[in-house]
Amino acid sequence: MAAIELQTVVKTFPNGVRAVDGIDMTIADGEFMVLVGPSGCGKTTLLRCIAGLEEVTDGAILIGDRDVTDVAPKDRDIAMVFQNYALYPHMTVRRNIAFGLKVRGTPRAEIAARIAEAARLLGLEELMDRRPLALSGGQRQRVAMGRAIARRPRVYLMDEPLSNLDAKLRVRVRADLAQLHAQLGVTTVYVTHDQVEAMTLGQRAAVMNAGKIQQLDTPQGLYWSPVNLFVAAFIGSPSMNLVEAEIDDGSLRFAGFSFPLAELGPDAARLPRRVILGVRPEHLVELGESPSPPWSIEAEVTVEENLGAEVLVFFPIDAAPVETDDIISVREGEEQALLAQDARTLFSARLPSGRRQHIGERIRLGLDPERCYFFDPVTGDSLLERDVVDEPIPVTAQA
Amino acid sequence: MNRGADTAVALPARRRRRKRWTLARLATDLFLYALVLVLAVMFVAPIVWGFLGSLREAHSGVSGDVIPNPAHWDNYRFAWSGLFPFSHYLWNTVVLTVIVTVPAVITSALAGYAFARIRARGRNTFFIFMLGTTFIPFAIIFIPFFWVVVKLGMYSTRWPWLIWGISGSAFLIFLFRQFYSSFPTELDDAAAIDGCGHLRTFVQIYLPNSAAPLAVGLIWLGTNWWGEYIYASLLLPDRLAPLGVKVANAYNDPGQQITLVPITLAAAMLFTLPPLLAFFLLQKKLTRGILTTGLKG
Repeated sequence: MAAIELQTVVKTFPNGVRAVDGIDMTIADGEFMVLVGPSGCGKTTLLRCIAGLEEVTDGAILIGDRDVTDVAPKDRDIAMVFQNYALYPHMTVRRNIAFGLKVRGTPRAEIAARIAEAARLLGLEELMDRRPLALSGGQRQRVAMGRAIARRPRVYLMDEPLSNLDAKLRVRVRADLAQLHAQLGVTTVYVTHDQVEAMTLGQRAAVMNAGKIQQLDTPQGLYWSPVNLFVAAFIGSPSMNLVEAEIDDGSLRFAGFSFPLAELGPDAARLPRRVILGVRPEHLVELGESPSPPWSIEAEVTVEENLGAEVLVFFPIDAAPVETDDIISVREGEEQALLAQDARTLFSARLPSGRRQHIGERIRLGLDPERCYFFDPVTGDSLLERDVVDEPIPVTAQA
Repeated sequence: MNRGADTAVALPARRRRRKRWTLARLATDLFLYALVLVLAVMFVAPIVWGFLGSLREAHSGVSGDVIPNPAHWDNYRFAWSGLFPFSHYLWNTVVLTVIVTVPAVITSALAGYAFARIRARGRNTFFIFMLGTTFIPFAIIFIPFFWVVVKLGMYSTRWPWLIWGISGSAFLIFLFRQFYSSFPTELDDAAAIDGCGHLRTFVQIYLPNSAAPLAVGLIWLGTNWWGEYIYASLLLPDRLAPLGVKVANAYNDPGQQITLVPITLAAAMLFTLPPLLAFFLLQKKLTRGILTTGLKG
């Protein structure tokens, strides 16, 4: 096991693209670190730099106090699990696991022992004489893990290892990975674009955009206290509701709603005239028959998704969608909507199931000012710090 | 190569949808079948004609019944052991074919791997330049080449064949490059992390997954060099000459100043047999190679 230290790592490709832009990061010995961000944010390039598969343009990489910046991948004492598993198609499972050890001249008895250990740990005993083509996606994933485990490296690097699995299997393998890390305790750097994986697996996660780390924090820290609009929009599923608001005459106004700023307490004085207001869907509370508090909105439900334990309701409000660079970056990695979007902002709320809301009905929702976020519309920086709350983070799995 | 990394296990057999017959579809199919039939006749007819001709009476020339009666099978015996030691020249052919083909296929595979996988400045320019060499007409290089061979003291030896082999084939390099470009790059990454350099990655990962283009290369280059005539007749003495040269020149009846066409044809049939057998043995891999190397659109 070893700590990893990245010192102002820069990677510029020959075509001029600066994929990694001065990353400084220390990953503790035995830590499970997740690099998360939309497609093209530089997370995989950074992982490949750590692996030695890409030469860094500038900066230094240390693994366990040893400068490995110019060291070949094979000499970095790492093992990597790839998105498409990268199993050698002509070799059996046994030979796939043994290959790296053989190349390194490990004694035969030692190889056999390590293969047996990895096979037992991952339940591969029955598959040892099969070739990758005869394995299912989940089995291939396990073999790829087995290959990494048998090497007994100081660092595991994982490049979106679950993205080729179906949604159900992904949940199971995710749990297995967490368990495996707890057992082995090896320093792991895990790349994903899936924030659910980031939030559930990582002890810490680095949210990346445009080659830079936007925020490096625990999953709770990222969720409860995003430092900027990008992190706020990226973390959470469904995404945080965002709308441009104006502060005028002691009130916060948007889409025809007006909230007294006094509810925010002394923080209100720090807010500029124009802000972007953010509210997580789970922080909107249905008011039902109770009287409306000062911070409440009312809208017509257009879409309802019943998830069993809870229900997601979507409703438009009369304000233009926020279109800052950060939001566009987040959306670039997402699927395009099926229908043309209307010009209004679509809000969502995560409500407990049991209520019988019908599409087309009006709904009244209350906002907790303490759980509202405010961002600078120009820089995207968070304007008010929020405390990290020790509550489970509700995220809906992405397919 | 198989897509071990991204193909699911046993996929259920795809149910074939029954096509509905329409007049346009019928006309298209009839045209295609007719075209295939014409092409098949064009390719097979010379072989059938040669075979039937090889069974005629030795002095009958090119005339006579289409189907000879009686069939003179002894022409084959005479071709094998009559005027010259057939097996000796057959062996010469095998040696020349092997010393060109085997190194050429290996070298081409290696070069194809390098062009597909090793990042180097000017790689694509060099590749285009290399491909351009295939457009240089043989007639232009023939005399300089002969001069070089003589100056290097390789005249009347098999060395030029080995050098051709080691030099590889531009077409095969292209073929292997196309094939290797379709390999997932993660395989290279996994091999690099496992401790492989380029050579080991090529030998232990790429080459074992190259059965299809190797078959294409061996058959294509093998059949070309099996029937080679010009270089062999120009550069090699009789004792090293391949069968192609010998068959073309040997069966002149000195007494009557005529060529014994049926015996020549019988020898040609025997000469054609090994490449035909190789083709049928490797046919499946050949078809797959053509499909997987991008030779077919």
